[in-house]
Amino acid sequence: MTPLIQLVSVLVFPAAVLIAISHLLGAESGPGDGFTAGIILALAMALWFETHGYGESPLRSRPPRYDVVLCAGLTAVLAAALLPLALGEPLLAQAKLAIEAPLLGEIELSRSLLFDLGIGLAVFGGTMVAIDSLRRPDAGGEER
Amino acid sequence: MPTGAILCTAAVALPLLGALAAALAHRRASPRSLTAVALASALASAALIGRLWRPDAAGSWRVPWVEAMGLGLGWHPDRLALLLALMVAVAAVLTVAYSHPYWRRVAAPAGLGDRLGTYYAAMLVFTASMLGLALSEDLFQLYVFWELADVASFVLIALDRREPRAWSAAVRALLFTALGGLALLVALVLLVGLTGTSSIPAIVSAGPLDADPAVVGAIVVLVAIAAATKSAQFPFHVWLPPAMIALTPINAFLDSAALVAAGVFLLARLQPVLGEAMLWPWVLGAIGLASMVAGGIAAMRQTDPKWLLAYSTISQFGFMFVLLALGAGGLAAALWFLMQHAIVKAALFFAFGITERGQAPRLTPAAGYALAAAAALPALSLAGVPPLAGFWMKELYLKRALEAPAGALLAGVGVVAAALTLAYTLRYLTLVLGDRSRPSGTPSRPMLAVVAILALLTVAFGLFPEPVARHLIEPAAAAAGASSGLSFEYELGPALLLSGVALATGAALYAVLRRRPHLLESDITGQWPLAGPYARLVAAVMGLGRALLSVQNGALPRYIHGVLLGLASIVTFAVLAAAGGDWAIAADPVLDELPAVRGAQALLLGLVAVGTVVVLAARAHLRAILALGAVGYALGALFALIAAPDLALVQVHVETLVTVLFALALVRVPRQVRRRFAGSPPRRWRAPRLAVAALAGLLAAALSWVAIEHTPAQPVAVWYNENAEALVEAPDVVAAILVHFRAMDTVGEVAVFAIALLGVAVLVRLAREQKEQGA
Repeated sequence: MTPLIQLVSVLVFPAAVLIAISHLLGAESGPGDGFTAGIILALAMALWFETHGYGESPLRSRPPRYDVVLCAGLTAVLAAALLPLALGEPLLAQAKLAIEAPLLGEIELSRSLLFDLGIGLAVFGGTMVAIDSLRRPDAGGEER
Repeated sequence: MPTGAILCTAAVALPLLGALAAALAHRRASPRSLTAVALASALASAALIGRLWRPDAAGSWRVPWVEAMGLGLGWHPDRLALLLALMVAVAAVLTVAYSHPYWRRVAAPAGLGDRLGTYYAAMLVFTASMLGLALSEDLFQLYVFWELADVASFVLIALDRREPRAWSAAVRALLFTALGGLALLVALVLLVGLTGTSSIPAIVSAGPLDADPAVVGAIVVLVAIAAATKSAQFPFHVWLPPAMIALTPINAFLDSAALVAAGVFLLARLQPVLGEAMLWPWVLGAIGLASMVAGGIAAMRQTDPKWLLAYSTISQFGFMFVLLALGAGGLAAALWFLMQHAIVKAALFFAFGITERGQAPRLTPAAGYALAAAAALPALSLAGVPPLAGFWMKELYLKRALEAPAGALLAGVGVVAAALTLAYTLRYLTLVLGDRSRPSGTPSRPMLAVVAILALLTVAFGLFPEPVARHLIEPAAAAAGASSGLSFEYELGPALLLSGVALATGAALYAVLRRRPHLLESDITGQWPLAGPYARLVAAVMGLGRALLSVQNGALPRYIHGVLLGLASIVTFAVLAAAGGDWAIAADPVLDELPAVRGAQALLLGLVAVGTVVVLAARAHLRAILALGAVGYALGALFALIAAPDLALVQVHVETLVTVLFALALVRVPRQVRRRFAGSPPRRWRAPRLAVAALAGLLAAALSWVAIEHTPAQPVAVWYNENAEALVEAPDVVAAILVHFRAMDTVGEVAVFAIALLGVAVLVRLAREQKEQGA
């Protein structure tokens, strides 16, 4: 891998994270939802692995267990589905919570946000499981 | 939520949290802290169950979760539910208390030292599922907990991964109980269809089913199958004896007090609804009578004490099934039997565990006498010796049987089974207490204490049966629609006479067989009646399974063919059903509406065509992969041009991902196969493969064409467009559909995706572990 490609991937990664978050938060306002957020993140990670080798990770800490992330996503989806039950509404009804944050003003959290977050985590985790299953034990990118 | 509902939720949730804690900490925590967590969860649950007995916690609670179909979730802590819940909770506490010294003495030396966390986690999940099963207000909720208990018991039986018998015993147990679960599900669906609700209190209070007798009969048979598989009754009893390979505390918990009790609980719950059906007494009576005798005879022939206890459980539950067959009259007696049997059977398992191989069980004289007393009392109670509680088990059975039609048969079989019971309990005592070939030492005091507590209970309930009966059994039976209570008078009548005859016969039988052991063929452990036909049946099923399995031979082309052919048949069926023979070809409306975009569209479609040709003909794999990517991107651009931005976005993303995965996978393929068509299949396979591929492609095209041709007059898309923003405040219609209108479908899709990829993760980890072990 040439230094140019590595530089590009370093620049692309934070942008990809931001785009993914924007898809997640703006799920209901336009194209892009939790699913595309998860895929964008997974693709950014795959790009990183390809350019820097599997031994490295863009995160400082140890990479997470991707199957745990997948399970966390599924749990979040199920929690979002069951959450309205606890509030007396039918299953999967819309439920919103408005929080006053000091600097950011009013933040609105909703059941659909948790739902999309769960989908994003599940897709990210699952895709990374798939990518991770194909990785070779030796680190460093290779010419094909 | 009312008090009762909160208590029920907590009683089920606490063991689950304890299980989570034990599972997460299982590698790092010490055995003492794991036991503390498990014990705390079990005790808390038991306390909550105890709190539920107070009147202010009574009453059921239900929250609808799919109103349109009448489904709901909730809790129904009536006395019947609380009886089972109490049994389960107390059994859980005793089992955890017993497990700690047992682990140190038996399991850890056998190599299971690091599995304690998994053990407690599975046990707590099992406890939670049994409590949930007991307290459920909704039929389908009961079913979910029923199946969850099966999964937890699978983990518990198969705990020792290195022992192949444990694995096969667990699989067999799961197969039988899952079969029962399936039968239960069908029965529940039929029941809900007939009554219009899935709420247990509503169905039970509506009384006997008033419907087509054939349907009611089918429900009775299915429920009987479900109960018989769970309670290990003939002919579904074969899973229980091999499950004795599990650790002794597991057997004590599952196979006396909890798992097998669920079958009786189910029958008691549904007795008001199904008890009047014609088939009810016949089916349950036949199952019960057969199990009583078959279990008793088989128990006599065992040399392994645990297998003896397993067959004994089969036989004793036969008594309960016959009592339940008698309908409302036998309910109270059946519940008394259930409770007392749980106490004594658990005690006998725990007593065996004290003398089990691996510890130091030849005992100092004082401890020896203590153990002998603690084991003998439950054993004699099980055999029906007065004045222990077990005497009333058999006596009440005989009283009810004599009052019933065909009383002579029921009582006669009961006498035979009771005689066998005494004979094999004496045999059990001989096997457990008489073996002098082990090294010396002292037993663990907590383990002895557990056995002693249970022994004391059976003595106390035998001497003073009234308090338990009035406060525990009769209210439970009343909640299940019982018509009569229990009386514990020693009245000189036919029942007492028959009990005496049974005891005398049993003692004589034991004495005779002790003198002539060859009559038992006791060198064959696990031999049971009907072995020949059963073995042939199993061989036939295995042969069928192997034939089906030959489809999965590990070759990817065969899998793809299977998937494509299956898909093609489904698509053909759907297309024929939808089109109904109407194949009129109309002009494509899309192109007519957007003439201005025609040029760009045509270009992209041309790119798609070129890309497809390259994919089919490319000599190098990478070229084919990239061409496939180009096709995908062209389609994405096409979607963008016809104003479907969501679709375009997803298409581009998924295409990128698939291309990346293909390329990554390509690197793993051996170099000599990388040239495409290098390891080509022989000529005779090319034509069929081409045919399958062409068929799949043609049918995909046909499906798309038919879908466009048969757009309904009022497409649902129009409704969504108009109402999305108003109803759910989501400007993006696609998001509104995915997350709000069709959210349940999305939940299902995420679940399927997660399950598939978790399977991939497990397979990868297994492969890596094997590679490390091999390397």
